[in-house]
Amino acid sequence: MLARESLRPTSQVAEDLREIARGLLETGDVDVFIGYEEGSLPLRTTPAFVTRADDVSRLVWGHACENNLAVYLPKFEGKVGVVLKGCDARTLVNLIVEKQVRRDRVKIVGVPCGGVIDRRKLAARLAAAAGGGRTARAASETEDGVILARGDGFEATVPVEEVLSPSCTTCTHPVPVVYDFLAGDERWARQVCPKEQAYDDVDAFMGRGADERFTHFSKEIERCIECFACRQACPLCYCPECFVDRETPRWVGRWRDLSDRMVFHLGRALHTAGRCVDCGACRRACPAGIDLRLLTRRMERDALEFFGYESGADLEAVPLLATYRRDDPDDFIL
Amino acid sequence: MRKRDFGAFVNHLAASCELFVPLDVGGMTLFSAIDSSDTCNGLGLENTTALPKRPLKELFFPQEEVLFAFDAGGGIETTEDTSAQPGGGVSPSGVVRVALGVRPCDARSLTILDLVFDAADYKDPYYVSRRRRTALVTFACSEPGMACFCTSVGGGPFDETGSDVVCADGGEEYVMWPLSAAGEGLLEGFAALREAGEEELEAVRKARAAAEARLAGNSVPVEKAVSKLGGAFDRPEWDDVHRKCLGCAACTYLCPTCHCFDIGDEATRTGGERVRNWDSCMFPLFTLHASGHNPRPSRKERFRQRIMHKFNYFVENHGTAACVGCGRCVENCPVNLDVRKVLEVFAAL
Ligand code: SF4
Ligand code: SF4
Ligand code: SF4
Ligand code: SF4
Ligand code: SF4
Repeated sequence: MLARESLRPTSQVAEDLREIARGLLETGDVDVFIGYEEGSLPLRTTPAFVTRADDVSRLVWGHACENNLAVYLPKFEGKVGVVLKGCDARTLVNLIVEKQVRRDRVKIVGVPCGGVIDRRKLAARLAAAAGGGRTARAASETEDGVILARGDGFEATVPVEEVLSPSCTTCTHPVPVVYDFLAGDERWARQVCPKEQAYDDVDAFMGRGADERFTHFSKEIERCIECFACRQACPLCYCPECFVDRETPRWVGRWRDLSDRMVFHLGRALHTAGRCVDCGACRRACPAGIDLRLLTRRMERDALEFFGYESGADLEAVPLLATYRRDDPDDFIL
Repeated sequence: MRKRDFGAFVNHLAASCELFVPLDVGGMTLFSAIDSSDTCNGLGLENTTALPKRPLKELFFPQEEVLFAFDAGGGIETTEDTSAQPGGGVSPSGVVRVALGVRPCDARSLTILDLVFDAADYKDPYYVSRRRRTALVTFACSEPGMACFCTSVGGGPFDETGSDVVCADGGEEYVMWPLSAAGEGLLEGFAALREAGEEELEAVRKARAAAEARLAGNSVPVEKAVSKLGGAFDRPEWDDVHRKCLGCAACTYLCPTCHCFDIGDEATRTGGERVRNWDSCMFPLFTLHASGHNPRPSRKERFRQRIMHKFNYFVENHGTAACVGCGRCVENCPVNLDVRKVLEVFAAL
C-alpha cells in the first residue's frame, strides 16, 4: 500500500479550477470548458460542459472524478479547455501525437491527482457496512481522504486508499506530463508507484498457468454484454468505424459465441498497444465490472520492456507502432 | 410464512417448475436457473442484494436467440417451443417457469413489452410462448435505491402490475398474496403458509408507506415532460443534454423496456441459423442505410431518439411511457447522464 505524501485539499483544487475556467471563458480563449460537476447519485460526478463564466461555480473536484475527459476532444470543433488528471493528460498527448487533436486548440488544466474511487469496490464496502440490504443515501469525502456514508440507521467510513481504482495503485504519472495551467499543488499528488513494482500485477497473472489464465479470462469475458461502454469511454478508441462494427467484411460475429466477444477484447487490446496509458476509464465504465486491464496492462508493459517506449509521456515522440529501425535487434522475437 | 421457511418455499417451487432467481455472477446479478435453495445465496427481500443488474426481459427476449436453423437442402427447424398459443393469462397448469425475486418495476416492464410483442396486430411467438409459460413472484421494495423513480411513471415499490404473487417484508414474517390463478397455483400445497396476522399486515402497510414516502422525495416531473416533448423535436436543449453521452449501449441493453433487435444469418456452407439479437438506437449502425446515408448521423439525434421513443412516440402509440423508473440507466451510465435530469429540462420548457 502506498502512503499519501501529504493531504490533498480537494476544495482548494476546485477553487483553482473555477478561477482558471473563469479566466479562459472571460477572455474568449476557450468556447467551452470541460470539467466535472456534482452527479445525481452519492459520490458520483458527471462531465460538465461550461460555456459561461457565470457557471464556473458548478465545477467540482474530488476522488469521484472518474471519467477521462480527453474522450471528448477528438473532432471537437472550436477552442476548448479541459480538466485532466495525470493519466488523462497522457491520453491527450497520444491524441496530439496521432494528430486527432490540435495542441493549439486545447487549454489543458492539469490536476495533480490523488487517485479516483472504484465505485464497485466502494459499493461492496458500503453494503457490508450497512448490512441487511440498506442503501447508502448520502456520501461525501473529507479533505484527508476518508469517505463518509450514511443510510437509514447506519454510518460508515471508508479510507479512499482502500477503494481506489486499480489503475491508481500502479500510477507512475499522477502529475500531468503536459499542461497550460495546474490546479492545486504537485505535492498533493499521490505517491508515484516505484517503477520496479508498477507491473507486479502483470507478473502475478503471468505466473499462473496458461490454462488457469484462459479460464480466468473466459470467466471475465463471459459477463460482457457487448454494450461497448469500454470502447466509447476510451479516448484512444476514436476510429470512425470500429472493426467489430464492420459488416463487409464482418470480422466478428455478433451472436452468442464467447469467442466473438474474446475477439473484440483481444482486438481492442492490440489496437491500444503502445498507446494505452492505463487510465482505467474503460474498466470503470464497464457495467459488468470486467477486468479489462488483464490485456491492456500486458501490452503496456511489453511496449516498455521490449521497446523502452512509455506511452503518452512525450509530445515529440513518434508513436511506437509508427517507427521502424533497421538496427532493431529483434532479440525477443527470434 | 416465517422468514426461515423461505428456503423451503424455494424448494417447493423448484420441485415443480424451472426456477429463476437473481444471482450474483462476478458482480453482475442476473436471473439464473437454480435447482434448490442451496444455490440461491441467501436470496431475500433485500433490495441491494437482489435487484438484478440485468433486466428481467432477458428471460423472455434474450440478448441472442436462434429463431430457426436451416440446411442447404432447404430444411428448416425452429429451435424454441412456440406451441403455447396467445390469448388468456398464464394457466395454473401451463406454468413451467417461475421467476422469483422480481422487482415491481421489472414485473411492470413486461406489461410494456407485451404492447410490442403481444399486440393485437403482431404476436411474436417466441416471446409470447415464454410469457404464457412463466409466472412472476415479485418482492416488494422496502428500501428503494437512490436511482429509483417508479412512482413517477405509474408504478411503485409495492406495485402489483404484471405479478402473479407479491411477497413483502412483514417484520418476522414474509407476507405473500396471489394475484392470479397461476399465482394461487404456486402457493398451493406449500405447507408452511399460514394466514397473515394483523401485526404482519401492519408491518407491510408501514413498510409500504415508508417506501412510497421515500420515493416521493425522488419524484420526477415525467407527465409534464411528456406533454412538452411532442413539440420539442427541434429544441436547442438537445444540443446541451446529449453532450456528455458516449454513445454506448449500457443504458439501452440494461433497460427492461428497451426492445430493439437485429436479425441476421450465421451461415456455413451446409446450413446455418437465423439469429435475433439486441440492438441499440445509441449505435451509429442502427440506422445506417445501405447507401451510406445515416438519418441519425450524430450522438445528438441518437440520444434524442432514445428519449423521444420512450417518452413521446411510445406514449402516443400505446398510452404509456416505455420506462418503469428502475434506475438502471442512471446507475450504469458511465458518465452519469441521468434520464431524470433530462426529463426535468424538458418539463421546465
Ligand atoms: S491512474 Fe494515476 S493519474 Fe490516473 S487517476 Fe489514478 S492516480 Fe490519477
Ligand atoms: S484502453 Fe482503457 S486504460 Fe487504456 S487508454 Fe483506453 S480507456 Fe484508458
Ligand atoms: S463495457 Fe464491459 S460489458 Fe460493455 S462491452 Fe465493454 S467489457 Fe463488455
Ligand atoms: S449509458 Fe450513458 S453514455 Fe452510454 S449511451 Fe446511455 S446515456 Fe450515453
Ligand atoms: S429508461 Fe432507465 S429507468 Fe426507465 S425503465 Fe429503462 S433503464 Fe429503467
